[in-house]
Amino acid sequence: MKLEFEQNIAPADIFDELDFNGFLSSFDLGIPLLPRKILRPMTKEEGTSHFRRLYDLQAKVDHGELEIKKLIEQTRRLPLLDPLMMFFKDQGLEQYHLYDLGRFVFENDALAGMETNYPLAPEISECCAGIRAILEEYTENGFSGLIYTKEEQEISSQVEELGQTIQTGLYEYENEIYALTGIKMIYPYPREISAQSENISKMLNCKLLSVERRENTCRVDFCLQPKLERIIDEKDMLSEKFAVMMQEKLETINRKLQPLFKDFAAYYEERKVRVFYYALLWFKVLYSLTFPVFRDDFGCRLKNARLPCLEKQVKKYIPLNIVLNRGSNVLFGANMTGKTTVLKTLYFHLTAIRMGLPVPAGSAVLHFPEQVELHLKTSGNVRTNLSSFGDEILFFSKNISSYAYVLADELFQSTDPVSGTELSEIFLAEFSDKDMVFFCTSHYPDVLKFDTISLFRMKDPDFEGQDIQVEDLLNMMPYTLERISHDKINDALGQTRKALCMALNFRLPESIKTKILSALKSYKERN
Amino acid sequence: MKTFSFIGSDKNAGKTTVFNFVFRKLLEDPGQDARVCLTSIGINGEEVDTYEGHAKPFIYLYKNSYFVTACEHLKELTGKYEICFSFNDFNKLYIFGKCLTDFQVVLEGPNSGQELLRLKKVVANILPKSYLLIDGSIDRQFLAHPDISDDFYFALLISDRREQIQKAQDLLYSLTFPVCAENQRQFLANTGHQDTKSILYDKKNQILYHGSEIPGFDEDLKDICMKYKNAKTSLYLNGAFSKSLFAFFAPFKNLTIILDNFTLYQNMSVSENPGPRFSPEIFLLHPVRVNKIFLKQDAGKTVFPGLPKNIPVINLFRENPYEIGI
Repeated sequence: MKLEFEQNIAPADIFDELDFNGFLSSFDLGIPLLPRKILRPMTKEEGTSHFRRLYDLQAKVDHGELEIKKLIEQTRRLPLLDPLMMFFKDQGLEQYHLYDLGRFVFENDALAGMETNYPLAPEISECCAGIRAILEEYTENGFSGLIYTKEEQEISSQVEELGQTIQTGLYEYENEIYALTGIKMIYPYPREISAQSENISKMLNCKLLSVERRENTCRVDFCLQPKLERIIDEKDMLSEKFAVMMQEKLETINRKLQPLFKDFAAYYEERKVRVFYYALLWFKVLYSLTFPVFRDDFGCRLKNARLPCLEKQVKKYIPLNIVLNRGSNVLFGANMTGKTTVLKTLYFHLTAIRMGLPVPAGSAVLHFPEQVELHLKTSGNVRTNLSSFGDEILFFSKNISSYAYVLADELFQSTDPVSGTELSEIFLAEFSDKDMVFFCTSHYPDVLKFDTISLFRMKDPDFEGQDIQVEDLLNMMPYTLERISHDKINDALGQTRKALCMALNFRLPESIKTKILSALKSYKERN
Repeated sequence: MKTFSFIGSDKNAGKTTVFNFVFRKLLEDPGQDARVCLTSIGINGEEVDTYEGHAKPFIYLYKNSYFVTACEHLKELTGKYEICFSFNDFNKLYIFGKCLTDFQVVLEGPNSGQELLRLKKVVANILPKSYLLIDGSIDRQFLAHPDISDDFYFALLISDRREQIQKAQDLLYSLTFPVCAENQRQFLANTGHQDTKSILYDKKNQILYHGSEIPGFDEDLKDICMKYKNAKTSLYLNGAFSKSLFAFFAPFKNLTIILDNFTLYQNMSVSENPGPRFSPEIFLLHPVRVNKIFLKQDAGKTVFPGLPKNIPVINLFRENPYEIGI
């Protein structure tokens, strides 16, 4: 099953960076019935109903009413019928279509036998038994061949006998030619004989042969006699009659099947949907994923949420644990502590849930993400003639609906700190009152004092004064966030010179490092 | 299961005749009880040549033989075959069937290496002791991969036209390339992957370039080759070694070229101009497995220069077919 997102669900660069394709490709469970599926974003109602269906299915599996592994194995045996449905509708099924149709109803019977506690479309499922009965009447060997009537069998035998007679006739012909001319007229024809051959005059005089002279060679072919030609004509005539009879048989089968088409088409679509749900559930089991649980109020709680592309490439991966409240939420913290990764992990999970997929997390309790928007820092775009600031303002000019999640990295860092702080406060105040989640990172200390927002801080290690390499510093990072209450904001802000400390761990010129140390010293003296 | 592929030097080189001939020989051989299954890369067996308008030899299947063809070619054959498998997840519906009687058919099998591998797996599973005959084409390079073809039959047209003779000689030349050394083979097997089109490496097997673009269009490959022109290097190519590449690499005295297989050599002359003198040595990664060369001589020539000495050469139309083994 090749899963794809509808176009433009996520910006191309972030889609590639978060390796959505890699995640979607793991859904390929080798089920012919689902060769490809394009996922579209769901509304709250669609999403709620979609996941409710998955919970129900999960409950049946948990209570032993369905065996998901066996169901998946059986669904792999169902052939894809999409290409033949149009022929079924128009009574134009060919012999090879009957084979696939027969295999489908046969294997579907076995699948339905495993679903007695969860029957599929019982009001129309009888059509499958009807189709099977018709196909078993007219086909044999597992629907692979057509059953001949006595008359058809006789004609087929006659055609075969005439074929034998022609072969014998040709063999005698070859012998006669050999006796008359000394040439062996066996496949391939025409034979090419040297013009200097001693038998050439015999060939030219032989009525059983036609001879065409060409430079140094003669091309010698059969000159069939009327008796053999009559047998060939008779065989062709009988073959034609047999073909007409087969055509009539196909027409009869099509006529009998047609009344079952409407129910079967509906049943087949239901079957595909059901198989898709089995695949989602099996995928969840296979990769230890979770189905989200939706809450009536607004907010989001993710436990042990993983970003698969990052998990694959780092030795020590710390899953994300986060609780976001309705309105505005701000994350701050030192550089390199993983703030942007938090936003990307959230974006990955919210997008996957919006498309109806299980996610790599321990649990996810949230309001349904009807809209998910992410803004990452850009350096502007000369093609659209937008600066990084213009790009950010354009992002916020989008229509933001209820149930949205809006994620922004380094809010209004694209302009001067005074304007950036003011704009940040304006937008945070605006979103604080909405039925949605707004979550941004910020380095502006004044923004954090705004009391209607929820505050989070990325933890960082205490390395001040230690001479450590950047790689070691990254290994020391806890990559964990903590909730900060407003009464402790000043303590948290006291660590704002972390960027200077971190810079000291890079291979900078000594003169620069001396100046950084001096700046840190005067900061400490002031505080 | 053994797979034989059939390729021809030109249109009308007698490939379908050779295909039919080997098919008949396999069926008639009393010593073998294996099944025979026929398919084609793309379409073949049409009655009329699309380009030249004249009648072509058709493909005639016999009772109890097997075939893989696109479903549309079976519409007039209802009741004359039974189905062993339907490939309904390929880009079109292909039917693997068994003939219940003799009939003429147009063969049209899948046209990609991946689909052909899948087809082989299914046929081998249903008919483990069998021959699969593939009516192929020289421009389908995946055919020469050892996972696809065990042996080749080569239909060669010889006419009086000098350009055609030169082209035929160039094709035959590719059958004479030696196989590269075992350590090189091992190195390339460990280094290359599914998308590899070129690997340039030095005498210490240090990789200088690993490309996945068609070599003829890979400008980076050409740039890096120019950079190392005076160093002792080897270049593995898994894409057409065209006339323009041939001309580009002609002066590289220190370069060894390793072609993945003989079908990649496409430095075919269309004129009598022999082109530049070619300095690099050429080797093959996968050995040539041409079982026989079948000549179709439109000219009266009996001697043709350039025929490989180690491959039997036969004129089906002139020699006694009873005496020709396969």
